[in-house]
Amino acid sequence: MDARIVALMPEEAPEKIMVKVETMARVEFTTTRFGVVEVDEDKIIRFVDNIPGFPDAKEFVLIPHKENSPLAWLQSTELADVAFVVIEPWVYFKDYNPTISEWDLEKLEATEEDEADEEASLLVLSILTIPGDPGKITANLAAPVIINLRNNLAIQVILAYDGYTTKHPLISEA
Amino acid sequence: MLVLTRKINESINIGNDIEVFIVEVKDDHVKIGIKAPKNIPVYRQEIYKSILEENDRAASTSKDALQNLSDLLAKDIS
Repeated sequence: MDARIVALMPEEAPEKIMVKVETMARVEFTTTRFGVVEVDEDKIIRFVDNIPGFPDAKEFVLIPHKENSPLAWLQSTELADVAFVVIEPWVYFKDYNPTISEWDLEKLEATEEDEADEEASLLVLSILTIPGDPGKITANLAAPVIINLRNNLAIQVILAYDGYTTKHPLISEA
Repeated sequence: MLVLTRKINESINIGNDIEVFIVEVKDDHVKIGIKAPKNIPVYRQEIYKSILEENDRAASTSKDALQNLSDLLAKDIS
């Protein structure tokens, strides 16, 4: 598991989360896949623009798939059944080179410091589509999710001119 | 919807910052030029639609589907 993903995730597997008395405000929400999830308020990721197709889903949390897996769920806190499987694209696509516009960086309130150190402050995630045949899994490289780790603001950018598609096969057909 | 008739090389202003030009008309193809500030994203409608549809498909992945996939991927990564 990438250390930066871990930093954003609930400290324990959602099934095991217990009510704890803490100064940090806790947020509780119900999900169809993970039951009731409770996280520290500062783990909430807020989308600054609509996610195409999901105008009512603005707030999400990252939930690890399991230990040592590069996969995580981006779960809506508002819509119980909306969750995306995400992965850092470079695990599979080493040459992936998305162009993030200065306007998108501005929306994420990225400072010059953040831009100079993109690797440390910006988390890039690709959404996976997993059909009935898991061998046909694809990654959406045309619309990555960018999260500013310093303030947890996020955006799904549309790379209209980088030559990527919404369906890059993850597993090469042998 | 507002519908306007334009000739080649004529244009339409949208607000103060956006100008849309008719560059060329050939059979049933229309070439359009767009001048807009960089913070206004411009892309073909199909691109937005394909992303919307892909998001829709991706959002309904079941926990089981990912579980089945895990082993496959674990081997692939190592």
